[in-house]
Amino acid sequence: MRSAITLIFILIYPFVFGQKITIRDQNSGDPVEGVVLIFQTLNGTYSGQVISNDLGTIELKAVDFPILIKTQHVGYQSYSDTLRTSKDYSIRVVPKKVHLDDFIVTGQFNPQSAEQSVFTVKVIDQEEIKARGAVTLSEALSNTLNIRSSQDLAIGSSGISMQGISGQNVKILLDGIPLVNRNGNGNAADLSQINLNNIERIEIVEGPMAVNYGANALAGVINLISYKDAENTTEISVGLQEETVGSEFGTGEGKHIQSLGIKQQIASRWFGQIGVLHTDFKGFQGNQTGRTKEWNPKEQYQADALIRFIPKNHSFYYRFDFLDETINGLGKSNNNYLSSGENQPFAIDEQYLTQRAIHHIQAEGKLPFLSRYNAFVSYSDFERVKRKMSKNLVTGEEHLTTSEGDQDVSTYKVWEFGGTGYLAFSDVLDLQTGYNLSFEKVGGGRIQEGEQEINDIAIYGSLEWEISDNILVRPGLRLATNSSFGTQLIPSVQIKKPFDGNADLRLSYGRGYRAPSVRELYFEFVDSNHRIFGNENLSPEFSHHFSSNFTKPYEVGNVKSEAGINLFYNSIDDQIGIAQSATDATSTTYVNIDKYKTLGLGVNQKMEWAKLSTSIGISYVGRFNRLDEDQRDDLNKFFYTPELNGNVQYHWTKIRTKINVFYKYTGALRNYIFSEKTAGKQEVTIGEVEGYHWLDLTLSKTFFTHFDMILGARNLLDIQRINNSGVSGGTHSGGASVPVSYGRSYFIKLNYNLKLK
Amino acid sequence: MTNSKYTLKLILALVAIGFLNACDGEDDQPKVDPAVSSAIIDAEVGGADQPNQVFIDFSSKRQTVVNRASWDLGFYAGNEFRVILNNPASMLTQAIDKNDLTQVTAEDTVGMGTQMDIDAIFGSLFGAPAEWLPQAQTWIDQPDGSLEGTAIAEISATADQNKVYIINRGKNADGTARGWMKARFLIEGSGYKMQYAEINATTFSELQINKDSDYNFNYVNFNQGLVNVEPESAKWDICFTIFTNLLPIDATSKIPYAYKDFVIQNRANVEIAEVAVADFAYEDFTYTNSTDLSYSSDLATIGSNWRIVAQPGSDQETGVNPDLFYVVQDSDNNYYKLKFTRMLDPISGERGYPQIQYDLLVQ
Repeated sequence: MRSAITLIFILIYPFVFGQKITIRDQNSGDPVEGVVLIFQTLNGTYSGQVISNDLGTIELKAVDFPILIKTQHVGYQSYSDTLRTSKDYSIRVVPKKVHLDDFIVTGQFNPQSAEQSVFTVKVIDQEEIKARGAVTLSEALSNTLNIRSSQDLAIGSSGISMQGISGQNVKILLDGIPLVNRNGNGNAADLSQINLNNIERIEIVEGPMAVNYGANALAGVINLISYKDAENTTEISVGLQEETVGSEFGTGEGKHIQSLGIKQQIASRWFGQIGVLHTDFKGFQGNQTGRTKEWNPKEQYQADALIRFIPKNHSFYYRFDFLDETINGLGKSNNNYLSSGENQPFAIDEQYLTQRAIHHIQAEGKLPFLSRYNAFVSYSDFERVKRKMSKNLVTGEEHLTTSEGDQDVSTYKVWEFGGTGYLAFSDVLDLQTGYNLSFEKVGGGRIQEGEQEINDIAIYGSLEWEISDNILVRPGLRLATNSSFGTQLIPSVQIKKPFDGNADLRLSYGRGYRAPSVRELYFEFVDSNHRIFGNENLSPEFSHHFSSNFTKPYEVGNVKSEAGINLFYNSIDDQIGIAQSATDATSTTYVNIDKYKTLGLGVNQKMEWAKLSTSIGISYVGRFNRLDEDQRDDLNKFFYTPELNGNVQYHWTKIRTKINVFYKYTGALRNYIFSEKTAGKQEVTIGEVEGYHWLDLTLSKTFFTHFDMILGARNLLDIQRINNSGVSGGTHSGGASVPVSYGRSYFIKLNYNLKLK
Repeated sequence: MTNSKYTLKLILALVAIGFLNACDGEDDQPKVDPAVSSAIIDAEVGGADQPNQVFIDFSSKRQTVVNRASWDLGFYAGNEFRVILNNPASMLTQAIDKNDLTQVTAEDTVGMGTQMDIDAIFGSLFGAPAEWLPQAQTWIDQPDGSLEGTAIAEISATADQNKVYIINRGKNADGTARGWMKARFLIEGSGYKMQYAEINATTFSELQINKDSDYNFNYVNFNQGLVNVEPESAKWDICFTIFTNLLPIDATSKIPYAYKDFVIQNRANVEIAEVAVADFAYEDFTYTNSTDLSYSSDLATIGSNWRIVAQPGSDQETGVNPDLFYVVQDSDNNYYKLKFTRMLDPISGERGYPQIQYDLLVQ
């Protein structure tokens, strides 16, 4: 993994023996291991490739000087020179700001640094996950720009939108494979069910990654990269986290988390690891009384295991991931008088039991005819049982209730097969091709015939072509055929142009699509006031996505800075909406009618002093919604929402303490509801979901070598609910506010890490 | 190192405690309201589909149960000549510009099938604004029960002025359609005459309906002729029923929409006042308190206010609205305080099993 990706030219004149070149870090003077050096004599008589050893040394034997060299290392800027005379040299290389851990893989031909990627990749690394005390993905993303989250109190789920596009279009992957959930294969995920206890980093790509990852990534991809290796023979970590929920805390209140992880090099070529996590959220009573709680209690157990075999040039692993979640929603007490006049109150309680198991086998490495390959098989099995029970509060007797939809089992089972091969044709042209087969089986009470299947088969290919002057162009194409909506051809093209001083310009165009969900295809719900049916003839929603991104690092005195500006535009056609059936006026169904666009501008700025690092970002996202073809001209406009975030970290090296501040302002979200007043005249009401500020503060400290401690305060500004003036009246009004959080909470996390060489 | 080993042990101990503290004790000692001497009635609405209208008489503690699809029209037995629709079945009607039933054919009803239907009205919300939608609220009787607001115009003594009505008979309790009719209403002596037929029929039937003033309305079923529905006017106070109300869809528009668990009151003799629990506790409320309230004869004074229906994503729960109770003044000038105790069946959890508690307020 540490092998450098290097490209070197060397030109040589005379020929001499046994010279030594030592490569050192310009700042620290330490020798740099793993610098790959390909050299060539100028007269073309001899060329070769050498890698520096742990002393930073490269031996050149029987080489005619002078030679022309150019080095490149993933962690260092490339260095070129002409070495004229035959003698020992010492070369100082300048470290890049990227750390070795900043390798990314999402959509890449080969793991490489985010800086080298042809498209923009945001990384939330281990250090940041830790600094936040983040246990779930929703906590890790809480101040990321262009991501808005939403909470459902009844079932305790947490959803997101990205670039102003709903969560159905955000695809969440675990090591590149869609993470299945109740509503989709990767998309529309419940982020509170995604734990990070064995996740090394989170890679976020905005924009449709449809060529590589297929459907439902119209807004973007969030790829969770798990640990598959350890630096020591044995690593054991034990974690304990205690968190208040608002001001509630105690054995029956608050949030209690325990974790255990063991990593072990079993034999020279074998590695194994296991992990367990237990999260016990006792709920939040808030403004409720008696038995009921505003946020229902939720308990999760998560376990994962990995076994990896690493023969020469290959790596094979099997990973198992399991989640068990129980949500208990206790209902309020209802009076019930018996004929004797005695009161035997009862309550209607709800329970949601979720289990998710993922099996994943993956192989990667080199083959004689491929520079790199990757192949996987995975099987995901998701099941959620919804139970509703009546409970007599005097006798304690319980019964399952019998209303339509009270008892339900939703299942989502997916087989995925995939593979990619990467071939370097020449120094300037690389090719990646791949295939993906996906077989989904979805079941549930309101799905026609109880269960439906969707199969998808795709092949794809991309080229990375360095045209000239380091301009990198990556065109891609995916051909997919789906059992429920036929064949699509999806193109994309990405361009990266570097400028002097490590500045980069990236341009991207992609076509994305969202497959109609099983619910949209096969839903069935009839009661006295509703007749809703799925539509098997739906087409996917298609989007065009354009984005550009420019970043430039620079230094002011000893302050290292980086500035970035980015723009995006999404245009979604045939968006699926609910509409009156064309064939039966008394029922409603899903149709491809709406048009939706989003437009965004963002700027960000990072600055690093010796011990202080800061970043600030602003984004301005517009949403345009056309619900009707005859929409009045003045309604055809974007509604803009600002977002602002800022992070500050101070590293107090002397006492091994880091202080972190995370801030985000999520602006008011405006939308319009239009209604008919008198014939032909429409009236527009503009609704608004209020904006809010979010502030987290953490302090992390390492002590006794083996201990980490994090003290933190989440949601310091104590935001609980925000107003929503867009809610209209009628029987279906759920209150004019939107829940954000249960309020300010404090946590302490203690980690014990044992490392044995 | 010794230090860290000790700390490790401490952490493991804490972990163990963490795994063990999973005991929940919410229901160890539930708070239970005491037994009452009040009158209690379990209204036989009939469960999830709510097939019944249940008329309740407080003084006799009796309920009269009628299938809500057992009738079509009610003929007012008072001085005026008015006809009401079967609102619980979501019947809808509109007049056409003809006054001879034999001249009316399917051609006169073109387009009505996709508009004058309770489900079609709701379905039209999901699409381009329908031009006809604002008229939909004129196809039902106004929910407040005012006779001036009936969908069928007051019957004229001049026979020629009484137009033909196209009627969608709405839905049965199981959701099946009850079909369409055409009808015309005339004054005959001191009562009514109804001419009626199926849409395509070239002939029609006639039915004579006399006013029986012991009742608010005299009822008719197109298939069976005269039928009994509500008890005599002085013998009921409130009624549980499905009710086609007007649902506001935005600041200015309303559409007919069938509300479940609705409570209407006897228009002739009953007046009702709503009381906030914040002002008075039900138990402490006495006759003296009843004099300061403002009473209403609106059919839907109680309406759907007594209950709450949970919405997806909200933290409200389906059940009785705990913040309200009511005071009912009946035909004999008795005052009762009335409290809804439950909305759901205590075992099956289904809607359509309401229970009420009421007490006579002694002067």
